[in-house]
Amino acid sequence: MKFSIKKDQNNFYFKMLVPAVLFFIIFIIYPIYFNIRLSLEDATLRTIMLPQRPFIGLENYLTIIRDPLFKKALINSLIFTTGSVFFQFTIGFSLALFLFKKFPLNKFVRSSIILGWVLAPIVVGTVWSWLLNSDYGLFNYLLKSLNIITQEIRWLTNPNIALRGVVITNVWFGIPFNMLLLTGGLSSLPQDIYEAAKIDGTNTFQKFIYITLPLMRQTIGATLMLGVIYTFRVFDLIWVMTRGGPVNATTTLPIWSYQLSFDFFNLGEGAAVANILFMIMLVIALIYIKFFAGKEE
Amino acid sequence: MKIKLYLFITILFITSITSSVMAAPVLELWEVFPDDAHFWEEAAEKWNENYGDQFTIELRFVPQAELRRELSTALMTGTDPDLVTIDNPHFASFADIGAFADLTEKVEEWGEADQYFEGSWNSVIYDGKIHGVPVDSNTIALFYNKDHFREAGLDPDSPPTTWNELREYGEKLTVPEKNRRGFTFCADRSEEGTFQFLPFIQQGGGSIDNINTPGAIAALQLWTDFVDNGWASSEVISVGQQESFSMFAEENASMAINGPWVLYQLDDVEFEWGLTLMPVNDDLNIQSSALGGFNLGVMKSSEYQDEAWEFIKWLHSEDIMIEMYWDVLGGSRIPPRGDIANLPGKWVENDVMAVFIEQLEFAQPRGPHPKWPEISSIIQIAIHESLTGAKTPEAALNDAAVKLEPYFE
Repeated sequence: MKFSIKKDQNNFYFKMLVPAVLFFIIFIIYPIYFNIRLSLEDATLRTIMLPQRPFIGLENYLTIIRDPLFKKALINSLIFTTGSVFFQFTIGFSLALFLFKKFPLNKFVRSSIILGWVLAPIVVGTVWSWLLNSDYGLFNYLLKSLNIITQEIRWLTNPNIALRGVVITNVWFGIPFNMLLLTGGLSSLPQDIYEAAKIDGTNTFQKFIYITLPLMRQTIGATLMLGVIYTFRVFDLIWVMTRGGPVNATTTLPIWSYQLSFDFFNLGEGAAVANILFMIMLVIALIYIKFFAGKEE
Repeated sequence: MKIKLYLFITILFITSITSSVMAAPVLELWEVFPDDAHFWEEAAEKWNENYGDQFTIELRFVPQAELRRELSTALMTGTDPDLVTIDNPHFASFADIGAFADLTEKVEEWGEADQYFEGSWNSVIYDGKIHGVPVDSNTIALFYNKDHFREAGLDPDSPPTTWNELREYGEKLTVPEKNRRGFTFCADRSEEGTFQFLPFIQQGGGSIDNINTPGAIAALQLWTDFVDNGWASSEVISVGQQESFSMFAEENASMAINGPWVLYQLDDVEFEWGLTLMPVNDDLNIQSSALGGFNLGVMKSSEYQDEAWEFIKWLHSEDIMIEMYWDVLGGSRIPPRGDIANLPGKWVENDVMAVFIEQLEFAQPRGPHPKWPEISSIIQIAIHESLTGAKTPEAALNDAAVKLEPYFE
């Protein structure tokens, strides 16, 4: 068990890379490759057991794009993502700024907020579908007692409102994550700049606009980016709450992909939707890398 | 010290190999019955105790919602079990791909096939071949709260028998101050929604390949009226059968459509309730209900098909079936064999089960069609479109008819 590090240094470093590279190939590259291959094949329950499934080129993609549900699911995905990320971020940022100040019970409040993030999406979805129930839900009860509404809002059973219902739930679910990342960013900011600004007589708003925001650029970019990626692929929360309904009001791309693959067993079409989802994420990731990452002066 | 340990491990290893070679074959059975029923645990235990020297049954519980995904993945990787239970409308799609063994000869030799309920038995036949046996038969009927009937001035012994009566009773039983609605059903975006709505389509003279008959449109109008007028909760489109029925059990609804699997919810209720046949269309007077239940299939890839068939024959012999369905399940599920369900002193003597058994005669299977999930989804969308006011019942069913056409060419 003896070896000289100096002599075999390069060799040793390569060896150390092997587990990571293997992991990357087996668990990331191969599934992506498999999914792309599946989307080009006539993969249904009927062909699933064949050793070689018939290759049909882009047929699955054409079927998907021609389906009127594609446009609906894409728009739903975009609304769900932008709506969720916008509110998660603004509320999360406000909370981060607020909790960054020192006051009694600060730690207690902070950990209480984070608790929500620890819950499983299935639990959050179930609880919120009770809260938003139009018959006995707490939401309608509160709004009614405060005289904001006179008639029950059918949060999850009205096709024009249901998407808002799931967005509200996802916003609540995502706030702690945003808050946590942004708090991390805030605590790494150099304090001497703020002291200098204080001497120069800036007010709180100016400090925020001219110091905090520019310095937080990296963190904000990363938070938004991760937020978009996490939200775009949300499946379980929506599935538990509405299964994509009523009608198709909350059918997003991941919901549709799941339904095609594991309800209808049109695995090729399901894979095609998943790949379109993947391409969209890839573009977002590239934009992020170009404009935000690695540009620290 | 160390040597002893190695020796010990080696001996342990060798003995475990030899014992596994010597032991009787193990048949894997995937079951989806909710575990509170204990049905399969008891059945497997009983078999293993008495006939474990021939072969043993090993159970794996798979949640019903996961079963098709698990099974298809297992087929893809060649790790499928020897026996599997599967919801009857989904049986055809796996029979279609040749996942099940052909049991036709074995069943003919056995000669008991004509004892089964006809609808249930038809659901195991695909392409003229028998691929399994039904393991339970169930259907839906109308529950009603007799106390609420009395409060509303209705006769608790004459529940609604037609759609018009259902509508009339629904209105009279709705009491907003008490948070009480006349009726509850399941219009969920899942197989359960289709399961409850299809009987109404059939009562309206329609079928999956002819879904927009005037009677079927009237059926969807009926459901839509219930939600629009507040005689049924608007939440019916997002809850499953169990949750829909809890509105009845908690006295937030006075009538409910559901099956024997929700009876446990009524164990501790303080009101008097009754069960009656599904109401029918006033003009057409066609009786119909949904056929539910699971089928047990033997996988084609199994090395132990003969053993699997032995197990099925044992499980479905008269003595064992009575013991399992009457004693173990407490008579809460109807056995798939009509001769046993109709035995004197058992199910037919029980007021509730007798209604279900009578209703079962009019129960129609869903499909069989290998693309059933897609057909079912089109029907669910039509129900949702109408119940949420996105389309009129007529437009919703006309659109569904167009979408369904390619499946019946």
